Amino acid sequence: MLSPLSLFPAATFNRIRGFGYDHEVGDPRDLTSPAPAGEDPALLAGCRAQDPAALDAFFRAHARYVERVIARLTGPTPDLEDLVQTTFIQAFQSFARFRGEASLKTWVTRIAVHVALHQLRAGVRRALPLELVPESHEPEDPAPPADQEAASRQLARRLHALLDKIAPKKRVAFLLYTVDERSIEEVAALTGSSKAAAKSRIWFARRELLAMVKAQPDLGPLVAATERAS
Amino acid sequence: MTPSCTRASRLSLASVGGHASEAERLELEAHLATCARCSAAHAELAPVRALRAAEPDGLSSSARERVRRAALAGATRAPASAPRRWGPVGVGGALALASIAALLFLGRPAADGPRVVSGDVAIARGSGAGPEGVVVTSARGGEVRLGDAETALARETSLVWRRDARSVELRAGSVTIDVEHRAGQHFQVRTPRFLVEVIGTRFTVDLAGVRTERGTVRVFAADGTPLGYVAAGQSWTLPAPAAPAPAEAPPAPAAVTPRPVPAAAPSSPVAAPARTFADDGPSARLGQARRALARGNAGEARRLVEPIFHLGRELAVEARVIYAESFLTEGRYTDAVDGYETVVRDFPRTAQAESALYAVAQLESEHGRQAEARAGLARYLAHYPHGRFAREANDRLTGLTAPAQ
Repeated sequence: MLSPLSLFPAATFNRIRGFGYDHEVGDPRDLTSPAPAGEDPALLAGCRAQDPAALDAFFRAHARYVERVIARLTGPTPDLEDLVQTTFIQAFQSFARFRGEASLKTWVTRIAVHVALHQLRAGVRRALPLELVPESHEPEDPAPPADQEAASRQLARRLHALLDKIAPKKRVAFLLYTVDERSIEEVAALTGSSKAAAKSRIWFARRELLAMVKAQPDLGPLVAATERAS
Repeated sequence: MTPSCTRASRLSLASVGGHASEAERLELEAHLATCARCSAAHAELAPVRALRAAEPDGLSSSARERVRRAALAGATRAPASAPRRWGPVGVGGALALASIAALLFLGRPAADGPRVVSGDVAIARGSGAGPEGVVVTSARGGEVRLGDAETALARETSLVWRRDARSVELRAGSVTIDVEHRAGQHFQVRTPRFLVEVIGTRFTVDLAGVRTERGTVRVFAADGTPLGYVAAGQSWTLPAPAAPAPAEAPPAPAAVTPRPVPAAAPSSPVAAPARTFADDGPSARLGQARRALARGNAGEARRLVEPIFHLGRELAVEARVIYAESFLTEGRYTDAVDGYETVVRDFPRTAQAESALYAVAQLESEHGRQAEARAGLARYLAHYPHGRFAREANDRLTGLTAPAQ
């Protein structure tokens, strides 16, 4: 049986060129980055040696960041905990192959992106349990919520429901570029694709999303509600 | 669309993502002022701009703590499968292999079915298990491999294994399962009255509850209502129905022992009302505290249970366990250890004391305090040589390395 990671687009071994670096894109856990390491050597050595204290420090340093990356790509999901756990388990088990040419943050981002992508490709998205959805998030409420935070959450749910209809690779590339503010080069490296493919995916996702947003006129007041207080 | 419209579309997208320079933004605005079509398209990207500005919901502190513990526990174990380097095989090779695998699978649907490892285990199709289900029974107990899960069946156990759904339907008896985490596809054990969803763990389920030895499981009511999490060293038991169950409902559990319960535990809607206690009584407060804990609100949980410390033994021990767990959810492991020690000291010979004693050792181990962990495990085994966590404690004790010279 193929391991979940073997289903990632790591099989597409592209050459990425630009901005002063040139490297092969393969297994995200093996991938090196042009970013200077600049990491605490003791922490890195500890992580490579599977020292629990070092792994714990790594987790504490990156957990919230990884949560944010995954949450932005998948949207509100009851599986967030699961996905963050998978990311760190894969990271912990892969430290031995980490060559230290990229920052640990970049490295763990790649793993997180691929875990999120795999989740989206598996098509196993589950409804958020009602217990986890505050009342103000109920989609049937026609009026935008009064406070900005609630409006913002509702908008995220609505937008991700639309993004669910876009192919995962396009969706992830689009969100990395527009919401996570990654450059095209970063999107390409994080998704294991060429720069041209990344651009193309972002562009087609935009087109598909625009067509869907056009059919959702009630999103306008919701956007206004999120921007009122900001 | 004019060439300038094409460029404006690209600038609009760059602007939404925060990539446009000041000059490019001015160029875009100039174009939008004269082109209604591009202006409308740019406005339609406003939800994406709003999404960028919003901070997504992260995990609660308790959930993050669960992930931390599970990930660290996972790091000490061998990976389920070595990462593959496809190299020159490339996409074509991978697809070809996948096709061959699919053909083999389609031709031999039973090839990945249950495999008996040892003991008295019978495997059969049919018996109301549906087209995908396989009935696994054991009269005297045995071990069987279900997909990627190693399972031990107790005596008089009957279950249905559905490989595609990665689920077990427990019909009778008890089953202990050791399974690796797999993203996006939870291993599930369903009983008539509740559902256990696995995050990657070793745990035991019978028709009355679940006990987790390693990792974490999520428990749902039969109707899908989430009830909470059961972490390593904890167990959860179905509450006894207050009203007589309808004829078609499963019988009530024979013995319901209050044990550490992670969240409010309404039983099946057909078997019992959601609340079986006064809304303002100590039992209700315990329920509220568990729910607060499940939401990650440790302070609220502590506030709710503190008045119960001096009430009856059964209530007080529950309150003390919740109190200890509240520190755990905040990552205050020293306080959590103190809380569990209180349970051990003040409530000896209770199920909670056994769990608490093991939890102390486990916490010490997870925080790299090996000498304390060894002492804790030895203490647990001295008190409970045949206890619920004896096997796990022995394994951990063996795994702990000798102190540094």
